[in-house]
Amino acid sequence: MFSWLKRKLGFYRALSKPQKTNDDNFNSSFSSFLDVKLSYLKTLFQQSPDVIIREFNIGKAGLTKAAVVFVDGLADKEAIEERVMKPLIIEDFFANIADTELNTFEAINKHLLLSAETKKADDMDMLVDGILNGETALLIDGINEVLLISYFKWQQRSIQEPDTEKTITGPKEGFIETLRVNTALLRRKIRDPNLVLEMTTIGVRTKTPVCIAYIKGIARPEIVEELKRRLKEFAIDGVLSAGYLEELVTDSPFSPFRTIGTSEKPDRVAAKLLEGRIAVIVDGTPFVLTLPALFIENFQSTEDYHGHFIFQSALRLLRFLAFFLSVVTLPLYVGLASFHHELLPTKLALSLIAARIQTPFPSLIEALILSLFFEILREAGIRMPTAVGGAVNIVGALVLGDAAVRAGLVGAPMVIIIALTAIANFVIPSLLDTVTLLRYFYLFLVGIYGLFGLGFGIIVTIIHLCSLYSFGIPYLSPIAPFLPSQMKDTFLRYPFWKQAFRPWQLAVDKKRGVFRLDHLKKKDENE
Amino acid sequence: MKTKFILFAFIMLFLTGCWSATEIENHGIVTACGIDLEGDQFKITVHIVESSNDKQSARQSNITVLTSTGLTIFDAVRNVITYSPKILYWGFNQIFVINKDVFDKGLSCVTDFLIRDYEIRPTTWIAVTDKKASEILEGTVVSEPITGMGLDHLFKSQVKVSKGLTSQTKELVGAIANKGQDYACTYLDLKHIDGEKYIEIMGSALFQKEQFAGFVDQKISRGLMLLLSDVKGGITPIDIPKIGYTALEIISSSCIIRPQIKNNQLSFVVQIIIIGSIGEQLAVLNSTSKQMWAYLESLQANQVKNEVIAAIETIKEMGVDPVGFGKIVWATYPSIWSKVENDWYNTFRSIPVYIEVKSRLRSSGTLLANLKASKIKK
Repeated sequence: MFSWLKRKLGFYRALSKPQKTNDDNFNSSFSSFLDVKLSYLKTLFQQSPDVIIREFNIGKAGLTKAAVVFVDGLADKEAIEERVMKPLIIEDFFANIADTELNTFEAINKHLLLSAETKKADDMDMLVDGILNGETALLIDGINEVLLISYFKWQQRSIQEPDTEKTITGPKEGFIETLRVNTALLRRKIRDPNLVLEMTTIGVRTKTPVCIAYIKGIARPEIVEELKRRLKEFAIDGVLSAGYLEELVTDSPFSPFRTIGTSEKPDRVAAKLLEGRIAVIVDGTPFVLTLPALFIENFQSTEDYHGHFIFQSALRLLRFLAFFLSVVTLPLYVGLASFHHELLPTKLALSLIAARIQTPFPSLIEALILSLFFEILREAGIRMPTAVGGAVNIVGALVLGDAAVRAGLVGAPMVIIIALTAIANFVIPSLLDTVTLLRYFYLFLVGIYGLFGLGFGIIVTIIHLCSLYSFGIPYLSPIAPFLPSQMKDTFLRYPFWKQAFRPWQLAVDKKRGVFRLDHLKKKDENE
Repeated sequence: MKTKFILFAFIMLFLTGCWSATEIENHGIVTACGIDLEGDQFKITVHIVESSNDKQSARQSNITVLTSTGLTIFDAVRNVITYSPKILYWGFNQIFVINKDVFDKGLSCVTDFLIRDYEIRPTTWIAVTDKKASEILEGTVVSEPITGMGLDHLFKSQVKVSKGLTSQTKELVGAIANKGQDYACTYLDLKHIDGEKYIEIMGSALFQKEQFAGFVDQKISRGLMLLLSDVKGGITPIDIPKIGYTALEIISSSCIIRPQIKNNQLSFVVQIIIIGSIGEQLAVLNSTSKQMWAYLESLQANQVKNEVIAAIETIKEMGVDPVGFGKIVWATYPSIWSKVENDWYNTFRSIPVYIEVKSRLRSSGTLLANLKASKIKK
């Protein structure tokens, strides 16, 4: 069914591809007259007061007209004044340059500008894009070229520990909204020339810089190609976060399971790259997409690799348990309370009855009311300012929860179950939305069919999971298809010296290189 | 195809409703049930748990006793609804207490409902009484407010004393269908202590085929349990002449019954292995010596042998076969069985049963010998 919907979706995508909007006449080449270029820019940025066009005269006699164009707030004003305008305006600097050389930017670029990164704009499009990107355009009368100088300076968040993936013993830095800083963070983890950072822009209007990062020689080129193909497949006016791209390139957009991973931590993304995955960094969001993503990745925390492997393996099993609990406990309870009483031990049944004897609603309605109540609380807790959030939680949890039980509206066991479900839910933050959806799905089935419905739902889920792919990799591998040799980082986290190979489905170069060195030597001798 | 699937899903999900959903608190949870005859009709007495949500009486469940009559047991069960809104739920019923006269209608007929109904658990206990079952259920079980739960607990604890055969509904099918083995279950009675009535296990109720045959006391019951390898515990007080009592505790026992034909005469060899320990010594004797240890073992063997002989004599006399001697013959010598089948109880009376007991004492607890005895030795 999903493939069918996907095809439909592709059809609509093709339909909505917009035509190119720019005027082609201006693109071919620049006029050598400054006024022509400036008037074009002035009309274009008429209503953009943040675009500053500063005209001045340069040259030995101060007769040549020139201008810098930049966006206030993105370009570094001080640097433009100090390192672009000053050398150009003060004539001493021109001493070494012959007048004839002023026809091109060659000499100016070589002798006058104190900028590390400059490039020539090929056409008007590139010029405008560059300016809007924060670059400074230098235009000089008589030269039919435009120089783009990179002096960026804008307000950005400092690098902080991300809220979503807290760690105790691991590195605490997290990505921020600026793409360049994020690539730098990655580069600082992987000092390998094979780390490829391919830049593209996505978004007809936002023109968001997007970086595809992978390690050449480890990542499978087919997957990289497939990703690029999918990124080209659609047109969208704006990409404001990684979520936009995730939804547009994912394999099964209708599945509750996410087949593309996100992370806010450079160390996690670096580890994924080293396993042969591909990262997509989108400017303007601290969340980096990693793909292909497998189901078990949800259960792998960065903490797993920083701590002792035995303890961390136990924690991973605990995470599986928590996942199961948070999905199944509530439907199971409803099933037991309204269908399969004989499955309860007698004493439990009796205390259950004692707790439920005065509640007015059937357990299904009770479950729906309470879990809806919890979802509202959670949503409110996220949106509220931190100071108020605590109050909301207290009101919600203590006042309403306790009062509801005392007033006899809901039974105490249901409150316990909802609390357990909710807490277990937060053990695997990346599956939070999936688990919530699944739980309601199961609850719905249990309300109709009892535990038979739950079994049915679980089977449907497993079948669905088995049919999912993430960029050609079975989503459930290495569990299904069952690959015993790949299980070393699945249910248990094996020690690093046992994990000599990368996941074979993901990597071209399978040797991870964590063989013990003497081990390798012995092998060589044998050969 | 897709439309069909969606239609199918729609029908499955929205046109079914919450089929057979019943909230657990709307049931009348039966924890014990008594069955009597009243004239020509069955009279059932059920204990229903009343749970209350009051803070004071939290976890204090009370019992309501309901009775009703009907032409069959199931009829009587349904007739309860004529005056109680809660439909009886049998999933948590722990015990059926049945008056002995009920079995005039035949064991398999009376217990048909107990086996047939899917709500009744196969692990429900069955007990027979010579009083009215309703009268027995007026009694209480020590420190258990819910009589049914208490009786379940009581029956489970029986392994430590082995004084009455126990039987659950799941054993009924086998017992009724089996050739050469009769059904037996627990005999319940009331014990009066300071005006309080407590339910007590008095021994076993034995059947002859479909009919109730009679009760046997605790001692004979233990003999039967030894034969059935059911004894997992119990005390054997042994009177050592002129010295005093020594209490031996049974740790485990097992029994193998083998038929043999010698000189055209069928006989049974019963081999019992009994392992015990010294639990208490009122007798001042030094049990650490090898001879004394062996002597105690032989006394234990003797005691067990006597109990088993008494039990076999009793069942021969009553003309019942709860141990399944007939079944053993049927399994080993089918040709002989077909000849004696019709007159098995009479035949059995004349078949000799030889008993061999292997007795072991494993330990003497934390004392090697009675303290006084060890002092004497020094």
